[in-house]
Parts: sequence; C-alpha cells; structure tokens
Amino acid sequence: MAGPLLEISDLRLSAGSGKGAAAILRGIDLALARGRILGIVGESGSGKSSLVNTIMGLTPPGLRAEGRIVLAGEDLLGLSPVRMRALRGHRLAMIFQDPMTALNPVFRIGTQLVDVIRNRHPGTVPAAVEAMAVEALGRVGLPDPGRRMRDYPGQLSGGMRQRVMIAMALVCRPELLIADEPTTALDATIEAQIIDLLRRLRHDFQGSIIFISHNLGTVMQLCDEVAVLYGGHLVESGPVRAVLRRPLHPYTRALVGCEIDDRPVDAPLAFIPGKVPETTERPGGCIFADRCAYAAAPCRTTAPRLAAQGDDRRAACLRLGELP
Amino acid sequence: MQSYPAYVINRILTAVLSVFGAMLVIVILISLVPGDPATVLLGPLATPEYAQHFIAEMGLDQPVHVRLWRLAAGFAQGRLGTDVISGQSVNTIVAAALPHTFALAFAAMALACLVGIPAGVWSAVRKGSAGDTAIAMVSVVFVSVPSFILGIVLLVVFSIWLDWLPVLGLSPSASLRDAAIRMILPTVALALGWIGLIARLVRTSMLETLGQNYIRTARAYGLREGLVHYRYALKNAVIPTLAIIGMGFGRLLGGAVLIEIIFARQGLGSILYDALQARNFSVLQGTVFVVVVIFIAVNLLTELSYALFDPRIKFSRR
Amino acid sequence: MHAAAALAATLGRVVRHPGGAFGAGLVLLILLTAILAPGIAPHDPNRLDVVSAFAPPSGGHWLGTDQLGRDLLSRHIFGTRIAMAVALSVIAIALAAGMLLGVLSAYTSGPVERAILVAFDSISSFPSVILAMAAVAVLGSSMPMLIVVIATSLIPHYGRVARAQVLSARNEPYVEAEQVLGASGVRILLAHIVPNIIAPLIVIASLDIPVVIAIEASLSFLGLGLRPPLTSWGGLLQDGYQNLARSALPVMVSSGVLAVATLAFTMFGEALRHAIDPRSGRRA
Repeated sequence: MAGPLLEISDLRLSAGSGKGAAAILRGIDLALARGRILGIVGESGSGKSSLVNTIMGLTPPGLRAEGRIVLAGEDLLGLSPVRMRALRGHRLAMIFQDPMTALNPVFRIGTQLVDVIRNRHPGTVPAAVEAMAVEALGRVGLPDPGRRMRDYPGQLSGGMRQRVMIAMALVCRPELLIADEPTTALDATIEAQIIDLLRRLRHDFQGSIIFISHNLGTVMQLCDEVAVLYGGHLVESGPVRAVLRRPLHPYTRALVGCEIDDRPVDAPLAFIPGKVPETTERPGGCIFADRCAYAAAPCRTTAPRLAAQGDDRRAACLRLGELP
Repeated sequence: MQSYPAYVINRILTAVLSVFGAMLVIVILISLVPGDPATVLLGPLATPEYAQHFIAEMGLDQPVHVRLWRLAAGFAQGRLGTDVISGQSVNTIVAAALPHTFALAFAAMALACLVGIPAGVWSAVRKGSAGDTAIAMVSVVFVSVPSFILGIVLLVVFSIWLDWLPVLGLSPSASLRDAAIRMILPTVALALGWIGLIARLVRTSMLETLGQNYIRTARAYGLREGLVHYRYALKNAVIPTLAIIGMGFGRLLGGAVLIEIIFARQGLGSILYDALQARNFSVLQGTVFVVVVIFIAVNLLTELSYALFDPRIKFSRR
Repeated sequence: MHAAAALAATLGRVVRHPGGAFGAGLVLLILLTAILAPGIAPHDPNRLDVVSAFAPPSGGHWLGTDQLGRDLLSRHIFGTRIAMAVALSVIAIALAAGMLLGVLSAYTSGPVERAILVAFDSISSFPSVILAMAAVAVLGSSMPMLIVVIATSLIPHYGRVARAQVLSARNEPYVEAEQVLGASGVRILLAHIVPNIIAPLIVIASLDIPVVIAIEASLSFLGLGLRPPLTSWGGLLQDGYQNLARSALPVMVSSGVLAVATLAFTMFGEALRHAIDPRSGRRA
C-alpha cells in the first residue's frame, strides 16, 4: 500500500478560549510509514503525551483538537466516538507510562487480557481465547504464564505488570502501537529488560510504533526515526542516527548536549537553562527564542516553519544556515 | 500488615467482646431502675405471685455480676429465656418472627442495590446533567427523611388515597401472591433511604474511579463503555461503599422495627412493640439481645467480606 | 474579631453550597418558630372544638384540625419547641460527654482507656432506636430521661472521633515541638488539640440533629416518648396515625413537618461539612 500509515497535518490541541486559552499542540505535521518505529522526544510539558492521547482519541473532555490525523486513509478526528472506539484495540493500541496503575487492581490479569482478546477477536471460543492470553504472556517473558493468569496486578512487580501491558498490546496486533514512556516508572535494570523485550518483539511485529521517551539512548537503540517536540511544536525530525548524531535545531543540540557531558544516559533532560513555555503564552516569533543560545532579532518576531533539510530531515529554525 | 486469618480471629474476638458488652448494658439498664424493679417494671400488672415469678425468672434478687453471668450462660447455650406471661420460650417467639424480618430486610436491601447502584453509575457517567441533578435531589430527600415517615406517607398515598395496595400486613392464611403484594409497601419504604444513600456513595466513588489510569487502559483497548462502566469501574467503585452499607445495617434494622409496626407485619419489630406495650421484660430482653447479635454479626461479616472482596487489601505488600 | 470573621466566611460557604441556602433558611425558620411559638401560633394548641373535628384546611385553620378539633398548625408550631429542645440538649450532652471521654481515652492508658473503649463498643452494638426504645421502656420517658437516653446512644460517635483527632494531632510536628519546648499538657490540649477536634465534632453534631429528631419522633410514635401535655411531632404523628381511618390529613401534616425538618437540617449539615472541610467530599 502506498503512502504513510499515519499522517498528521497541522494538529492543534487547545483548551478554553479567549485570554486564558491554552495551546497544548500548536500545529504538528508528522508522517509515519508502515513498519517503522518513530521516537518522540522532548522535555516534560512539550506535548508528547498530549500528541499520542489525541491520536488515540483519549483526550480529556474540554480539549479541542483541530487539524487532521489520517490513519490508513481515515481521518481520526472526524470519526464518531463509536467508530473511534472500534479502532482502539484493533488498529491502535497503547502501552502506558505507569504499569502500577494501568491495570485494574480488582480483576485478575487473565480476566483483563481475555476481555481485550474477546473484544479484538469476537466469536473466538473461550478455550482459544484463554490459549491466546497464555501464549501472549509467555511471549513477553512472564514465567509460568498459565498460573499468572489468575494473579491480581497487586501480586506482580512493576516490570511484570509492564510485560502484561505489552502482552495486551500484542494480542491486538495493532497497525499502530503507541508506547508512552513505558519504562520511566521502572528501575534501570528492569528498564533494560523491557527495552530488550521490545527489540526482540520488533521482529515479529508487523505494525508501526510510536515510542515516547525521555531517554535518547533508548530512542537511538529502538527507533528508526525521531521527532523532537518543544512547546507544542515539532522542531526537528528525521532518521534517528542522523538527528541525534548531527542535530540541526538549537533545541535538539541542547538536548543531545545535555546527555553527552558524561552524564548517565537515562538522566532526565532538564539541563537547558530556562523553562518550557506555558501553554498560555503566545510568542510572536520562535517558541524556543527565549532559551536559545543562537537567537537573533528576527527569531523574536517571525515564527520559523518546519522546512526540509536534505532528503529526509526537517527542522524549524530561521538561522539553520548561519549556525556553527 | 497482619495475615488474613489473624485479622479474622482478631475481628471475631472483638465481636464476641461487643456481645458481652451489650449484655452488660442490658443488665445495667435493668439494675438502674429505681426502687423495687418488679413493682416499677411491671406497673399495674404486679400481682404478688407474678412479681415473684418475674423476679425469679429475671434473677432480680441476685447481684449484678451474678445476673450477668446467668444471662451470659443462658445466651451462650442459646436459651433466650421464658416469656413470664405466656410461659412460652422466647426462642420460639423469636424464631417465628425472624424469617419475616429477614425477608423484609433482604428485600429492601436487594431493591436498594438494584435501583441505587445503576442510579449512582448513571449520575456519575452523566455528571452535571439535569438527570444527575434530579437524582441528587431525590437522593437527599430519601436519605434525610426517616423511613417510618416515608412508610406512613406511602401507606396513606397508595393504600388509602389511591387504594392500589392493601392496607395492612400479613394474615396467617395469606397466599404467596398475597404475601408478596403486602410486602411491596414496607419494602419500598425501607429501601428508599438506602436507594438514596447507595446512589450517592456509588456516584462519588464512580467519579473517582473513572479518573483512574486503568479506566483509560480499558478505553485504550476499545472496550465498550458499558463494560468499562458496569464492570471495570463499578467493582472498584462498589467496594468502598460496601463497608458503609454494612455499617448502616443497624439503621435498617431500627427502621424495619418501625416499618413492621406501621404496616402491622409480623417480625421482631412487632414482638418488641408488643413486649413494650405489655411491659413484658422477659421477652424484651431476649429479643433485644437477638437484634444486637444480628447487628454485630452483620458488621463483622461486612468487615470480613470487605477484606476478602478487595484484593488490594488482601495482597497489599506494605 | 478573628473568630467572627471566620464564622462569617464559613456561613458564606454554607450558603453558596448547593442546597445550603435552602437548608440554612429553613433551619433559621424552624429555630425562630420554636422561639416565637406563643407569638405566632394562631390558636391555643390545646383548645378543644369537637364540633369541628377533622376540619379540612381553611382560613381559620390553615392546616385543618385533629380528632378533637385542635388546630394542627398551632400544635405543630408548639411541637417545634419540643423537637428543638430535645435535639439541641441531646446534641449538647452527647458532644460534651463524647469529647470528654474521647480525650480522656486518648490521654490515659490501661484500665481507664479500656473501660471507655468497651463502653463505646457496647453502646454502639445497639441500633440507636432499639437502645433508646429499651432504655426508655425500662427507665421511663420524662423529658430529661429521654434526652439522656438518646444522648447516651450517640456518645460513642463523638467519643471515637475526638479520640482519633487527639491521637493524630499529638503526632503533628508542631505539637511535638511544643512538648519538647516544655509547654504544659493543658496548654497543648487547649491551644492545639481542642481546635482540631471541634470542627469535625460540630459537623457530626449538625448532621445528628435530624437523627435525634427521627429517634424522638419514632419513640413518641410508638407511645414510648413524651406524654401529654408535651406533644412532640412524633406524638402528633401517633395521634394522627391512630385516627387514620377517619382522616389522613393529620398524619400527612405531621409527616410533612417531620420530613421538611429532617431534610432542612440534613442539607444544612452537609453544606456545613463542605464549608468546614472542603476535602471531605466523600462520606454519606
């Protein structure tokens, strides 16, 4: 099939109106081809989670999404809630940040998995559903999966619960899997195991993945492409190695710089002076100008557009040509 | 955290202690009577022979600790005493009445859950809508107005003004259908307050639950809203309300007593009422004791099942 | 000044809470009715007029008359006095005794503490109506006795809350700091612990007023409560109920008055609870 699996154009997410209005996403353009893994990086508050929640149609009530999110030819923003729900758990699936709270504490994990399978594959006989659930738990490396089916989430460690979440996503065989910082809440060793699991599963998995992370090292290991978000803007995107080895945008440079100075690779990205802009601010020029080491007068008045840089890279900066 | 069996044993011991405390209260109450208890308690009924009989049966000639011991020994063997007036065993009298009271209480509770839980979920899901406000207003009326007042109003409206339902309780020869029809008003009267209470508790608890991450997970996997609300959210939301429902059972028992009297139904309420009217303390003592034991037992069961129901408590690793 | 401002702010929040203004207005009306009863009652509540028994509502008798031709409105206006006298005395006694015993149980250990806790447990193993029924039947039903009996059944409610508040307040860092600095126990109790106990107890008290009204009414309804000439709302209800076959009006009037009064105090109490502690959104 030609064309990208997912194509997002001029996506805006806002809350309220008038003076107190908050702009959470300020016009995102993004495309993801089939079978590719896209990493999304950026500081807290840059809009990463809002972006994926909007794709999933899980934005809290009161937020307004405009623009287009086209998944395999279908504009998700134009869909009825019923149609959107039908896509979730079929063509879309998501793994969440905090495995401790993402599973329902009062249902056995087997029950929760079986409900998802029955919803995905209606009409399957119960024994086959059960077998699929056990098989999926086995594939994500849960020891003794048959017995684990009867456990409550409270009986499993955080890493085990995240494996259950991954199993839940796998049984859906989605075209697009979204993983929203799946390892942030876990210990470093468990994190490494989960990343390793995701890498191994990659080979069996046919769909595309959007992987949100704070950790550039993980993104480098796991992803094909990367998109850098700042203040609700997409500031740079391109192949993961090219972007992270030779960043173009001053913000990406700063991000990568934060990690190079012999700091541990999993340290949070909070080393750029200044702070992420409030969603209620509406600067006339570049959103990063206040914190940018290279900002010049035009940066404060003219908003840069995301422009192609070579074959497969894009960046939004007025001074790309003049930077050292 | 202690293990579940240790918790159970601890709770049972506390409950047994409460039963003892209740007996103590009964004994102290009677010993507080000023003057000669037989004369004061029996009033005009106190012929010398009857007073004699009464004093012997109730052990009023003994000191308080002996009376407590006799009462406890008797109750522990399941003997509630003898009705001084009729000579019948209080056990027989109470046993005949218990099924009626239980039937009424369970019917009311079932009705309250059947209506209250969906009403609470419905309001939570449509928070802020006109329907939600209406349910909240009706609930506060049901919760605040005592059930016997609601019972009297229902009786007047449906039996007297509209003449839809029979006025009074159960005749001994009634058919099952007749009995069921006569159950309607008392059950509704007793259930209304609980409907209001359960609807409010479930609504609050549902709203809290619907904001949880695991609900977002269920939605992210495309589960139907009905399944998300009534299965995934409801079980979490109902657990915290269970304890309050159980603890409130005393209110229900107290209410049932009055409802039985208003609707002239057989049951513990009418026994208590008749015993009070006849100043028949031998029956009163045993019946009050049974009510208290039921009350304590229900509270105990609530606590124990609460712990069993909620895997978060059972498997808490703290 | 500070206390007055705090009170005004709390009342402001009560009135702004949904139903709070309604509840507070009715509560005020009920209290004024109780105080001004002789001035506002259109008739002598005990004046017989057998000829006009069971008269329907009219210009002369706004709510009609009872089986002896007595004016129902006036009888209920005077009943308000009794209801309020009983409810407020019961709450005052239960609050004071509960607070005292609760604080005592928190500050003592050994037999005194255990005795208090066992007493709380024993009393609260009875449904309050049943305990009050049994006690009044045995001990008699004069007004003071009725008040003491109902108050006793409510004491554990206040005692447990007071105890829990003391126990948690004692572990607050600022209280521990004062102890280290050598403040006397009494000073700490008065300056830090009592203010901590008072707010939740007042909330419970306001929500218990309708409960007391209901218990008193049910006892009187069963003929176990106050005896004439003290005619409470429950007594009026019983009067009407016994004459139900002849007219449903008196019963409906008494039921209506009881329903409105309990509703008003509940709504006021809930608004007060939110006003004093906005976090306590939960609880029945």
